[in-house]
Amino acid sequence: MILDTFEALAMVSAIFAILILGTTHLRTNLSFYSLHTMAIAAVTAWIANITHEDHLYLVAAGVFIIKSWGIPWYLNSVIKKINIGTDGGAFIAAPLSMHLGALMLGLSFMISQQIPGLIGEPDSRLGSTAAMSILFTGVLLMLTRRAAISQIVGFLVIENGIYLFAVTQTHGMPLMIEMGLLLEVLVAVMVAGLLLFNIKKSFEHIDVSQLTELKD
Amino acid sequence: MINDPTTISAANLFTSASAIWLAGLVITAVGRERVKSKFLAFLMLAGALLTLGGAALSWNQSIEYNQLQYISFGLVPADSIVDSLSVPFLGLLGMLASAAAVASPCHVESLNSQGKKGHYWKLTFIFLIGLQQVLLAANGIAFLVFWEIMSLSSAGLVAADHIRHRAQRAAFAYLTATRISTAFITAAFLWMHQNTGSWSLSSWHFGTEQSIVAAGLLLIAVCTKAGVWPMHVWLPLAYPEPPGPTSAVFSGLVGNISIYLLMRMLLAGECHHLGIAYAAIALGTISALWGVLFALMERDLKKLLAYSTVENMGIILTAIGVAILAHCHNLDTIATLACAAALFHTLNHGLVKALLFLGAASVERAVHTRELSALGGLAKNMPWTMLCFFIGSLSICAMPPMNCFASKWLVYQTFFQLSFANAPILERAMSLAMVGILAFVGALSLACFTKAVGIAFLGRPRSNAAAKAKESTTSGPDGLILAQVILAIACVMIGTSVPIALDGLAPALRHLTHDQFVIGSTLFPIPQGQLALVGGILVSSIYLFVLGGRSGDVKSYITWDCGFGPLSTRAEETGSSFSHPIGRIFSQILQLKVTTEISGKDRRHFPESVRVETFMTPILETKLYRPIMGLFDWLSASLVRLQTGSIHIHLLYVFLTMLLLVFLGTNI
Repeated sequence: MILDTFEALAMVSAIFAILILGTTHLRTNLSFYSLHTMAIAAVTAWIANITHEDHLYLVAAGVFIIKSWGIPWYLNSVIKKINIGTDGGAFIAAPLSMHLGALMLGLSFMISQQIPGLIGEPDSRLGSTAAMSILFTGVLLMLTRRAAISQIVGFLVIENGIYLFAVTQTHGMPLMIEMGLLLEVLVAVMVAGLLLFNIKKSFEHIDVSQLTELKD
Repeated sequence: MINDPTTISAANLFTSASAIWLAGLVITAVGRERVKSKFLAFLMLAGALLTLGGAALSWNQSIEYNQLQYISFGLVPADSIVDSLSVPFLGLLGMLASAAAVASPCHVESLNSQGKKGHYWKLTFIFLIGLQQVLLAANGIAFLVFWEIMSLSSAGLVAADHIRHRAQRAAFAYLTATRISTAFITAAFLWMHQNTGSWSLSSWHFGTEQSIVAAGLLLIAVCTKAGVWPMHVWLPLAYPEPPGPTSAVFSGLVGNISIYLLMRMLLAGECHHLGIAYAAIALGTISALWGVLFALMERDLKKLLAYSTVENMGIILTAIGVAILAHCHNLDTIATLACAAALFHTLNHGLVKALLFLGAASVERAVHTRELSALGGLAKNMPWTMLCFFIGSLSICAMPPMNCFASKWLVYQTFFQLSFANAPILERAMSLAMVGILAFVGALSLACFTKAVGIAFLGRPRSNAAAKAKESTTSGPDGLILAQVILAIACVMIGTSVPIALDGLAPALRHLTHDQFVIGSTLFPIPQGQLALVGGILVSSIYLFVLGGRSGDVKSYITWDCGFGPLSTRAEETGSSFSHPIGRIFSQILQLKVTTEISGKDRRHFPESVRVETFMTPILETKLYRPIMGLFDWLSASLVRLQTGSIHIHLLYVFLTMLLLVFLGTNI
């Protein structure tokens, strides 16, 4: 199997995402997230290089600046302010969930071999493998962690997975849509950060598993 | 055709009627309390009269127009068509809407809150627009859209008194019924569209093999909406609830519109399915029996009327069933008779039921209750209501010379003819049996309305409120009384000029039977009008010349009490005691139980107190619908357990769904 360069980069980003699962230290999580997003920005730039779609360079720059620098920086400052260093406790121990993530990577490979009608030149099964694995990783992160900040990171990872799928399979959407999505993610994270402050203020913890009022 | 001046003016009339009603809606919404109710009632009346005028202009020819074309529903624009079948129903709509408009101001002025007034006007205008446009709709999509508007606005009217638990329950039951019926109509329309590739209602033919599914779905939908057994349980709850004047339009048209749909689809669409015919006849028969039995036992005046609607819908449905049956066997005369019976009885019943509901509304306004046990002796205080209610009761019991006599006579005639026709022996036997069943139903309905009139209007008042009842808010007869008088006159007019009325319906009959040589007036050979005239002259001359001379001898005196002392109302016959003997016979169906407690030292000869109670458990509700409701309750209670409130579990659901979708999509 010969990996294209962008496929290799996508795999790297998937592996960084799995590494996020491996620790409950929040700042390390954010650093891994930053690296993982940088790899995705690199994938975007490389695809722009292959397909000569110049607007993808702009998108790559946007991803690099907003997602891999802006958001981790902002979340770091939030962590510092609410003074929480590690996730209180995961439902599944961190090493175990990392191994589950690796299993998910295999599963995604199986699924991506079966997806009908993937159009793309080049037809990138491995790109979709990486994207789906990132998606599963994000879900796993949201499912297993208790701290609200990990939920935000999980959401961001899922978003990255969807974005990577789009960019590897369709070679990017129009610039307006990409920019809109970036802005949307930024705003979502801002709001989530503010919510975090409020949760901390009202409950004196950010443990999501104790917030169970959402029912009749 | 489109340039024909009659066409254009009729189309203009219909469109402007809708526009006026729409204007009324906007004015109510914008103007709030500044708008006088008389003005709004005038708008309503104007729209109703324009509808009547349009129907009169187009009764003999079919008109297609697309003045509402700019309202497009995605697939097709809102085309309108006025053909000979919709004309009678448009006429009925105009008639009932005018009566409701006349009755509206005095009803609205009696409402104490501004919110209720606004609610009444807005929903009434929407309801009327919906009704009119349903009748005018030329394609399935427009029909469904306006059908929905009509159903939902009428559900709003049912919930007019929504603070009361009773009205909430009624509105909920009615909404459920309309939802079910709309779902089935939509399914049937989609099926027919799939078969024919067209949305136009007139292009759908039910003669093909595949169309039986659509016909069955339509039958279920219509039975649900019209309140035919066993889907009638919502009807006695919902019919009494709409506010007085609109209850006329509601009771007269909601059921009839669905009958209209059935006629347009199955009769005009040449349905040739024996199964559908048998189903219609069977359901109609059970419905007629069931309705009249429960009407007889009912203690609430408006619920009694509602059950009587169940009975009449059943009779109409049997007539439609026979029409389909006759189509299948190519018995043209019987098909014509059955179509005439169904159509004429639908219209007559709509008119009469509206009149009776207005009468009941008038009684309720005066006494503030509908319980028969609290009424009585209203004849002296409310002579006009009494007269109109009596005329309505005569008519609905099919007494000559009233309008329903003619239509029920046609129904009987249909079955008699079928029993002598060249049809399978089983069907002939069935139709003979049907004659007997119809006669039985007729007798019971006579008993039922004897009870309604007798208990409510005759005897001595059973409550203080009934003793102090006042007919109208003003010194003379007010709008509500006037509306009843209008409808009563219409009933008598139709009853005494049946051949003319049937001639007027002849284009519709030609449309239904596809027989170009139908002559309406020959269908009903009894010279009812002339007989009535002769009888009337005879009775009045006897009164004038024989009895009238002695009128000076009449003295007003208290009722002779056999020397027992003053008569107590407790000695009077009650509604329940009147109907009890018949109830006893059918106690298995009615689940009628009587408990008697006699106490005292020597309880056999000198009882100190006697306590008699009767209980009726509605069998269908408890045996069929309660288990179904229980199942739904259980299902939803089990589903609630899924909702844990934990974010992680909810995320897990999302994740599992996603996985499921991925696996479904990739066929792993």
